[in-house]
Amino acid sequence: MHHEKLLIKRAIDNNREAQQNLFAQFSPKMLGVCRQYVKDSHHAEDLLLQGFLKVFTNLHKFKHEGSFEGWIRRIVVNTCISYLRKKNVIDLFDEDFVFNDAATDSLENTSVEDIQKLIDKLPEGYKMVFNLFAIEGFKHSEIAELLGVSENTSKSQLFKARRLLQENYYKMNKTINEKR
Amino acid sequence: MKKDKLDNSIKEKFLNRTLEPSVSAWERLSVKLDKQPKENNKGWFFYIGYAATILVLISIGIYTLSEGEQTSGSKQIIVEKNKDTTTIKNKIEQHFNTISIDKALVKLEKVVKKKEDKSIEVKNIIANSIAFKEKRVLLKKEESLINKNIILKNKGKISSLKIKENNPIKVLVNKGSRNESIKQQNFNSRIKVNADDLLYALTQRSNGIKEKGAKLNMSRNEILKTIKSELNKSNLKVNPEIILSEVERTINNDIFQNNFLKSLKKRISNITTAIASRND
Repeated sequence: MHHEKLLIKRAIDNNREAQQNLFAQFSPKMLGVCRQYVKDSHHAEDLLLQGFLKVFTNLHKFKHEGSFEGWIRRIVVNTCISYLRKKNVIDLFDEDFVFNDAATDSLENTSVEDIQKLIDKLPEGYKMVFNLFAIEGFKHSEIAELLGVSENTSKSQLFKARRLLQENYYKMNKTINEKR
Repeated sequence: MKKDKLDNSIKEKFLNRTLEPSVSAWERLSVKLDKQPKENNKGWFFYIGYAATILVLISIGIYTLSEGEQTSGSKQIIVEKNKDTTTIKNKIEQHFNTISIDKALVKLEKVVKKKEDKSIEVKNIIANSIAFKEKRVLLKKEESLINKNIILKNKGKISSLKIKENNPIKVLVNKGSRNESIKQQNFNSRIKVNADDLLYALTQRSNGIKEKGAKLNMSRNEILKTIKSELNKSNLKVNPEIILSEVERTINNDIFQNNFLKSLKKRISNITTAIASRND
């Protein structure tokens, strides 16, 4: 902890070595966050660099009140959302999907990469709300403020995202079983 | 419940997920960071500049407002201390009353030799002039001078009295007569005045005084010229000397109170008509 504070202090003084150490320490997790929002890994890395650039330029604003990792994560998530909003890839209009009620509990046994594939299949709006709510722990009010939508939209998007995710998981399992 | 379980299982898996960035990731970020500090410093300068400008503007505004308040306050004081005009008028009147323009130093040098009939004549003139004048102060002067004459007569020193006086005569006049008195008198100067002239000056109007002067200063030749010109107009051959002597005989001091030349012309025309009618 003391080491982290020292690194932060030196990074504020624009010490490149300290900055590199912090980048090496937190970049793998943050790249995983970026990957939640963007399918392409190169694209995700670009967003990671943008996020860390913001981290180092605003490092003097960090008050050491919460975890440093959580502070960086928040910045990276916001960077991803800003990017998606600028690109207008987020479509938060309601879309009609045919839901399959055959939900499965076996998702817990699925690997992260498979879950990521399922999430990647979600429309951008659904994916955004699901990532923010289920993984990042945002409240609907916070998601609504961040994405510029109403809380009801956020709730409905989350509901539809879950149903679609379960449906896709069912299809995926069915395909695997058929191959066997 | 199922949903919460699903969310939690996904959350746990994703929170601990790590993905290694490419080798060149740090180099690319380092290049971006090299460019960043310059902009940062520029930003600081801008912030400081903005802050200084705002402070200067605020201070100027406060200074201006305080100045405005001060000036407005002084204006209010001026309104509150509005001077009483009546007292100012009184002061002005007092000032004028005490001005030395109403003082005249009169020096009487000549012996006043007047016969009794002449003094009576003067009295008549004064009596006539009273009807035309309304000035109280002048009347007072007149009366005082009459009294002086009487006193002189009583003392029997009319023929050989020599008065030398340097006493200033303070004449208090009201506002209406002030301007006229200023015209008539040569203030704050020593004047050698004949007693008769002084009496005449005090009792007559300014025009009368001018006519008196005209009477005294006009030469006989000038009068003769005027008579000739009048006779030429009427085509009569009469000696102007005769007419002038006739005029001199008949004209009296009352006439001089009016325009001398007018009265002269009138007399001449009367004489010429009389001569013409006699010849006929």
